[in-house]
Amino acid sequence: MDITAQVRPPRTAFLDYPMGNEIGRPNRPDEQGQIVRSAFAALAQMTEPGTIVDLGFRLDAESPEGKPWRDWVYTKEFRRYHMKTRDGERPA
Amino acid sequence: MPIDYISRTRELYSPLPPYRWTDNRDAPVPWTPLTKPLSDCRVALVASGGIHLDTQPPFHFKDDTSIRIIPTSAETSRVRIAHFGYPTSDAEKDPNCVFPLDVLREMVKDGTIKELAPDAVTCMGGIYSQRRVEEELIPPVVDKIKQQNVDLCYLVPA
Repeated sequence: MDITAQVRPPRTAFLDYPMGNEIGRPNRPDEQGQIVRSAFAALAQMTEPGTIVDLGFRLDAESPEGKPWRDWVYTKEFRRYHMKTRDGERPA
Repeated sequence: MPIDYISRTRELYSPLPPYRWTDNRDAPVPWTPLTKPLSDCRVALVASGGIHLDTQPPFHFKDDTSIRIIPTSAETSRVRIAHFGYPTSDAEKDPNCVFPLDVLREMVKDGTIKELAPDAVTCMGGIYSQRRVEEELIPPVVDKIKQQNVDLCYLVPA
């Protein structure tokens, strides 16, 4: 949300989920449906340019070590485990 | 508390110099009022999660400013993911996580929206050059959306 607040798109529906789950978790069509539909429903509230609405969903998930996901995403440990380098390989 | 991605990204990529995201806080926000109910709207889908069809080449990761055109009637099972800047394993299991084709098609069926633009536009958003984004990536995206006479454009980041 910090980057979005700086970039200022006309209207933003924010989902407080990890990157890669912008529309929810895999093979959960009900969850995905709720997320997308609530984003569209939020349009009615977005009457001011630059509005950011938090859709209000919260995820109770953990890293492999049992840490809350918020503490873990986009740390060096997370990147090693979960992401690729620009050469398409696992980071060191 | 939403994550402070700016400081976390800085830490993650240190000792590289900090990346400077676009800052539009002093600029007017581009704005078109929505004047129709959703049930009358044609909606376009634009997504930056490195999404492509199995018959299309994947994105590369060194400032790839190309786009892919994906029919919104495409089978979800033919969708592939090529990106480095986010964990892609969930999207690889189910592309709807970053490319909500199934949900949007349901929303047309039940009349929540009138229709989907026939073509979705995708890119690989992990591009460090803002100039190349503005000069190379954005014009074809805008053209494709404008050609389809839409009322709303749904931008899904990843």
